[in-house]
Amino acid sequence: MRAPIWSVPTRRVPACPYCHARTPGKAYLRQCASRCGETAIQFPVSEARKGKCPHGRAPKARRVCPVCEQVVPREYVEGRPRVIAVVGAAGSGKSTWVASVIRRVAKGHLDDRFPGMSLDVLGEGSRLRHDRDRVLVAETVLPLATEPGPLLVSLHIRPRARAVVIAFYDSADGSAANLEHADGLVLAVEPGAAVPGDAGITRLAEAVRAARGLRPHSRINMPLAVVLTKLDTVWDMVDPASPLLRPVPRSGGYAVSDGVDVHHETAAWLGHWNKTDLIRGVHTAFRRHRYFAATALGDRADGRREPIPYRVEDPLLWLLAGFGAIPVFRGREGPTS
Amino acid sequence: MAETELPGLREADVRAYLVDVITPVETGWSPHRNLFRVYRLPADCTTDEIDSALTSIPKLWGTPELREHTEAVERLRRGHQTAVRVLRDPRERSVHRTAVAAERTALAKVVDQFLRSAPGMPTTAVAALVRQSAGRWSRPDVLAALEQHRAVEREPASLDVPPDTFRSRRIAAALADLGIPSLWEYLTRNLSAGGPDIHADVLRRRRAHLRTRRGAAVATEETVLKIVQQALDEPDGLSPLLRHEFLTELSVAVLVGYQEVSFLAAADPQRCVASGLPRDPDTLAYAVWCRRTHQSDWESDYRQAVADGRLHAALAVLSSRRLTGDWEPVRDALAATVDRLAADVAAARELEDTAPEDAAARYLAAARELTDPAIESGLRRCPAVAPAEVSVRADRDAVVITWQESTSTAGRLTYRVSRGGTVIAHDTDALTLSDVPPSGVPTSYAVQTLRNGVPGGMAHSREIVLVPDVLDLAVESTMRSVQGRWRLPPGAVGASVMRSGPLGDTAEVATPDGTGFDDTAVVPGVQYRYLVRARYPGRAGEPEDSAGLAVYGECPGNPRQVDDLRAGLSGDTVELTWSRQSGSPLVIRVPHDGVAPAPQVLRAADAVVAGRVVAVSDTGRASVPVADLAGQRVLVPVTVSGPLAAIGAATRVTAPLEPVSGLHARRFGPQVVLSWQWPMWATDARVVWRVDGPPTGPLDPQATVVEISRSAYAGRGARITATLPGEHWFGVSVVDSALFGPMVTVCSTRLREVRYSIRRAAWWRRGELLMAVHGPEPAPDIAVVAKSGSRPLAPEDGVEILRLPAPGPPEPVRLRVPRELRRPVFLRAFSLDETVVLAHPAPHLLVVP
Repeated sequence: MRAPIWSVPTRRVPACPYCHARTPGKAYLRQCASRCGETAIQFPVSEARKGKCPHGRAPKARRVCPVCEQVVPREYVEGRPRVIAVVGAAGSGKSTWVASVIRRVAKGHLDDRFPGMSLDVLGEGSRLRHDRDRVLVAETVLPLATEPGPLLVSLHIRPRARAVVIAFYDSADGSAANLEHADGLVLAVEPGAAVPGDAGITRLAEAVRAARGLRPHSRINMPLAVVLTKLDTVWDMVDPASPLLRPVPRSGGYAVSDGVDVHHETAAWLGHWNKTDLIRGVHTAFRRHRYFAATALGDRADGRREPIPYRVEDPLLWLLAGFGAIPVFRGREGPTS
Repeated sequence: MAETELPGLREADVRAYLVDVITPVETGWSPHRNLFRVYRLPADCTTDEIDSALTSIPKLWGTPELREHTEAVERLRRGHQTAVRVLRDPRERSVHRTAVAAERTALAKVVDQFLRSAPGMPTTAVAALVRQSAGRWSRPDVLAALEQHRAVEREPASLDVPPDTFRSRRIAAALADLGIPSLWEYLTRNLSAGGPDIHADVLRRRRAHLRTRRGAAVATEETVLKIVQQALDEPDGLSPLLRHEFLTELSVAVLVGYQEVSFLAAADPQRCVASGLPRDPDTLAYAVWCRRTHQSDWESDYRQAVADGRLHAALAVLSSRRLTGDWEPVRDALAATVDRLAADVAAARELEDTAPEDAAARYLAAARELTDPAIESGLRRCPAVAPAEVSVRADRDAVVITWQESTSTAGRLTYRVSRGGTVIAHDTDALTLSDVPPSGVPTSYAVQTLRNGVPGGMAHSREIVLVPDVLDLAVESTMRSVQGRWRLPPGAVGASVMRSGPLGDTAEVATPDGTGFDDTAVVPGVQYRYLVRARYPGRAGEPEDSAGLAVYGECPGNPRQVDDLRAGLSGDTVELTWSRQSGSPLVIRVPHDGVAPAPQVLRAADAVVAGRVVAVSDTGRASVPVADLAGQRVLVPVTVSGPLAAIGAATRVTAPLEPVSGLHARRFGPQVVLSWQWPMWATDARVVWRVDGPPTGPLDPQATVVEISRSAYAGRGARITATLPGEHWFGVSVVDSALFGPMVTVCSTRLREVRYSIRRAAWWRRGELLMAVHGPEPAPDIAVVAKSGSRPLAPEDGVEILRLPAPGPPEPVRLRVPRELRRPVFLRAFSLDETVVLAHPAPHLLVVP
């Protein structure tokens, strides 16, 4: 099966990751360097002559949004950022998933599949959040609450490849602004039958339609990854032949066969936990969707250990494949060792 | 008061000060009542004047003339600080000024009542007023108040007051019968005598005239003439009678007021002359006024004199008047006492030359009852013996004076100790004293014996020079020198420094400014002893040095590496020991990555390469909590000396080898992911595994070995590929320096895997599927389950559409999906044998649309 590649406008006016105002890149403001002293000013990028400030000196590299006056990383403004909104009920594992994915990529744990893959956190706010989340994930301590604001990262799939700038927004309800500008959605769902229902998919679909000005009950083109988090809590229930107990394929891209296999298996488990409303709602509302199962922390039966995540990167790889950032493999299972 | 000022002027000031301040203080006046007078300041004095007075007046107290008034001078000295505070604070000075002015006003009213227009007051009256004020006013205050009323202290002229005799009473009565106010009137008017010098013819003619008349008046006048004649026959003539009469009139006029007295005294100058009274009417009036208004009660005078010991004066009071019967025995007894005491004094006088102590004793005995200048003079002629010896010794920054008791026995013996012109102690009965003289100056002390306050013999000590050591001596070392700093005590003119080495070699170290030295002629690592002495001028040409203070200093030089750092665990603490280096604290650092830098000498600022600091000590021992090491076991000693640091040989904490905990195996197909909890100190682990049973130990030769570090485990975990079916036993042991900790084992079973496939049959056989089992391994019992809408998760989760018994069909088997199942239908084959799993090459394709 060939994974679809959904078209994303390649050239569009970037939206500020903080106020979501769409402002042309050249309208963003730059700041004079400290050498300009008291005469330092902010000026539009378009007024920089040969990259110099009006005083003839090299300005600061960062950009400032002319609407909210927040500092926006240059890579974000000049790149083609992808916005991924992570939604789900409180405690469903949204922030943990984001932190675990970033940690796996940043620590080079995907090097065997993507040699030379690197990740940079953009902006001071993202850096502080990443430092905090990194420690919390390493100590398998879940954060109590997520601070508002996006996590901006720059992802290099290959050493000299163009960076993919991603803005992760995670919130319990998903703010309208995030949904309006999102390029992909990740819905975190906890396993088990303790919380039946549709996991908020109906409300989410309505919010997406409203944010994007779609007609009611229309199918949404934005890709949706439904992630069954905390897989480690139900591992012992899974059949040994299940793909959820199979090594992750080592392909240098997204393995469609493995993804579909996991999709079917996860959907079956969701149905088993009476989440048919969720399945139905996802199928009805979202034209492009896939189910995933992952654990960010690994086995915790015997107390705290180093986190051993499993398949946390699958949703991100699926979205990156859809963005065209990584290749897609139809692929059979590769060698299991 | 500078010594260069005119001595005459100084003497006048001293006398004035004695009168204005010293004497009043001695008689009970409090100097705080008028600080302006004490410090000779005008009421509107300036700050400069105050500062000058506060400096000069205390010096005046030390002059010989005033020094003898020790009690008053001591009182002034004690109040000097208070005076400084009051006079220098403008607000307090203003309050004091107001108080002084108020007192002056009050006294002026009192004096006004005393004067009653009189031109002055006698000394006794002034003294009486001062005495009555009980110290509130002093004599100068009263004099100032007199001046305010344009009056003066003035002694009245003495008047020869004749007693009131029978003759005077008789003639006064006769004149009263005649209606003549006075004898003078009779003499000047009736007799036209013109004065007391009456010629006998005048009296004869008058007498002849009276014979021609008859009546009581004639008889009375004849009596008057007779008395006059009798008086004229006496040497004094009529003066006594006239004087008595005039003084009586003047005394009566006192009741009216001074002006009346003055008018009466000036009315008839001839009468004053005839009466034998002072010709000057003012003198006469004042004398009469004082006699009448300030004449004290003689009984009070008598008692006062007795109380004061002035027995002679007391006897004179009693003897000068006519006494009643009760008083005569008193006078007689007093006279006998006075005679006895006079005899004692005379006897003491006789003994002065031969037995001065006995004479002094007699004088003192008499002094108990009698106040007589002769007694004090006699005591002065019998001085107490001086102390036999006065010794002095230095005690740090003070001198201790000690003397022997005087051999005199009579009276109360005390001592006065002085240093040069300064009295250190007056009237003390101690035999030792401490004093802080000026440093570096030859000083001697004098001790004088006092007998009842009368100065006696004096003894002197030898000269002593106080030479205290330097102050705040401190020594510090640099890379190349030893430096010392101190403060010189007052009086010191410099210092000397002597350096001593460990071999006993000595050398003098220069002190350019006398307050420090910089010794660069030192060998690094060698400790030197420095003896610092303060230098004083001493006697001419011979400076005096203090005893000296010894300090030690060492120039550290380059830091020395510590190569014997040892670490051992003691409960929750790591105990560190090393060979202590004098003067150099050791910094214990922990490398961030557990790798110690090579021993080297580098800049102190670069020593951070050795890691973070966990301990600093210069005692050769240190304790570090285990928690502070945060799992690190390598410790690096760093010695710092000035700008350099020496990294020594690192040591490693030998931690007990503990087993891992919570070993768990999770199988992902052929791959097994092991997870466990690392012990605190462990950094490496060995994983051994085998198929046929648990490993015998970390060195099991039959087991497969995988070494994994803690950092690698944190990154990727422990993943082992174990493809063979069956039980796989894994053992994990902590490794440290080729030593293994206890091994923990876990088993993970790899189920036998049988492959199968389900595919479509020939294209013309619509809806027909073929299932085949692949591989040489016998297949288990297989159930093929179909489910609408989602994948079956268990054999019972769907409709079983095919059952294949073991060992499996040799050929593919046909099957159909029931039509009644809603499409899409998901298919899945389940092994009914728990030891076997079924695997499909493309399970995502097991969907019938």
